[in-house]
Amino acid sequence: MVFADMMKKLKFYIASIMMIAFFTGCGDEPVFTEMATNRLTVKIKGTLESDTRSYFHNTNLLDPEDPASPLEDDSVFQLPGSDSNMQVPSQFMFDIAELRLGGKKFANYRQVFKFDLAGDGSSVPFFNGTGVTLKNDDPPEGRYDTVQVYIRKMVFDKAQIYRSSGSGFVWDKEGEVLFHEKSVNGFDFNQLMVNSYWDSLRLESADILRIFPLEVPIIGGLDYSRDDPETVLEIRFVIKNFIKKYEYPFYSEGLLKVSHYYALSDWLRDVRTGENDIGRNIHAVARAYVPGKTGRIHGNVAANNYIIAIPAGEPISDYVITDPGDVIRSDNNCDLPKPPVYPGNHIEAVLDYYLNFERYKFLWNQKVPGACGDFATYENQWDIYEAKVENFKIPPHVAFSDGTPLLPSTSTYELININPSNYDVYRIPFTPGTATYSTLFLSGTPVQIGTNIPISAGSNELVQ
Amino acid sequence: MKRKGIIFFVTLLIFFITADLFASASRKRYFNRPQLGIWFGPLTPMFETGETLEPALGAGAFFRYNTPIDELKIGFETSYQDYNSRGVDSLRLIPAYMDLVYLLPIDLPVRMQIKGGGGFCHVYMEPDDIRQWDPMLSTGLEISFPAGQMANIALRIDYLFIYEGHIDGSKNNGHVINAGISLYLNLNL
Repeated sequence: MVFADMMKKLKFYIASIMMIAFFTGCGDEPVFTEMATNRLTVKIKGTLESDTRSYFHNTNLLDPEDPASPLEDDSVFQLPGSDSNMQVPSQFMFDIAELRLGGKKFANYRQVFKFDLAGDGSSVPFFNGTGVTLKNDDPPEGRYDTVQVYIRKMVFDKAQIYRSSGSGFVWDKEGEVLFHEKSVNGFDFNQLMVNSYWDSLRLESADILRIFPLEVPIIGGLDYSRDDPETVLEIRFVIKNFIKKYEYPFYSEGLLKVSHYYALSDWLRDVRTGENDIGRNIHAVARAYVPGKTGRIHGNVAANNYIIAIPAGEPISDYVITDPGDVIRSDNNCDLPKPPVYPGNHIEAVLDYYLNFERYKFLWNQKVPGACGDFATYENQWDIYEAKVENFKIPPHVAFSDGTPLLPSTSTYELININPSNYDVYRIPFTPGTATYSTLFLSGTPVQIGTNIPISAGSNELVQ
Repeated sequence: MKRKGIIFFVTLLIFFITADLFASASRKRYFNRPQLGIWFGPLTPMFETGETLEPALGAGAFFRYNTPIDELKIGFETSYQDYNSRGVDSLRLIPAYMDLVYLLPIDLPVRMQIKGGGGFCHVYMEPDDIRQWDPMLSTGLEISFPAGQMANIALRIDYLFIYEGHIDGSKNNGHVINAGISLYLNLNL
């Protein structure tokens, strides 16, 4: 009897399991296959241009010892121009810790790259439009509007350290930094990516890093579905043609030293003399597409034009700024000087400090109580400043035309892999050469050449 | 290595403890009672599953009841298995299955049993948030050491096969080996 009872119970258990399995839906997702497949391709590129051809100003042609060189930022103050041993950067080093989409982690692989900056970059996939693939595990299905890139380090090589000799500066040694567990020549500017005039006023300023993570907008969004065999997420960082030399002064055993290093240009958020932070001057944009479900825009546009395509109806003012970054900052009446940091313990350093403090008081008195009379004005001025710079975005599609056809076609530019939607197309003329090095879109104003261009899978629109 | 060493030592110890206890006839009777047990041990993803998932530790529980055939028992097994991958994916398995346990007719102080069965396995994959039941099969071997009238200690090894071949687009199935030390009680139902 006991046995019969138990068998009844067992039958009940079996039936229960079957019922649970039935009601929760016996699987229709191949989980074990899913874990082994990768449908999302993440590509990173170091160019403003999204596709094939790009304008490249050969960095080798710039003279890092020339104070008038566009390579040198105007914030270099202690030792401008004639620093010996300074060379143009030859490598960009990039250490990525993690990727997230809309806050959801989808790649936690540490990925380390060294990209060659020498020459015109045409043989480096990061700089020639091909892109470099980042390993990832696919995200959950859904729509995403931002991708967060957790960057551990960004390093340009050729950093040099000079020490004060009393009457000037002499070369001390090469700047060194730990990169991928090895000591290399260079300077990790990632750590300085805070807003100098803003974050440094805060108590927790030492812990702020504006780009950890770096929040990159996906223009047009990423609709990730497991039904598509491949989806590409392309993230572009403006690095090519966008490098400047900065100065980082510090005291080492009472001796003033300056480190000259390369970092990304302060074209948008100007860096001023005496500021060590170079915050939020990394420009990045992402776009997504499904290969095979994209369109193309092409046409004939004269030489030295950038052609950009943005989602139809978005204001072009989000993709350009009205004035150069330093002009916008000069317009701010409440751009107050920063006090020097007390170096402590060494008499020469302390004397320097008092000298700098006098200079600080002098600069402060020029603004307060005159142009920047009260705290309300201060707030207002900075709000105006932020409104001018904070909305700047890199267009999702940028091409460069040098006036010659892109063989085998007859077009001088093409934008490829465009996600189906409607786009406005603009042309921005610029003057090539050193004058526009490390600036974006400044020598010309945008001219609209296409309005509400519909793009569907396989379409090929002529816009010129 | 350390874990292997411990398992080897425990095995050896139990062999020595039980070596001179040859009152197997009476013990067999205890052994033939319904049994309730738990186990704990390493989980090893195998074959293509092992390429994506990392080994982990897991635990489970089981209940066995007699059938009219003395050597044969019918059992219900469940366990909790949480695997991480080298990337961000993680997988949680909760197998729930019935099996038949056959006591091998070998006259040794230890009891050797082989098992086979099937059922369903709850699969939960993160971060994709897929949760579903998949059919599964299992087979295994168990070596038990009677530890008095009430309890047994056993070393067990099971192979679980989680079938997904019926799903569109499936290329891989799940393969997992569970090894463990288990403790179970001979119940007086």
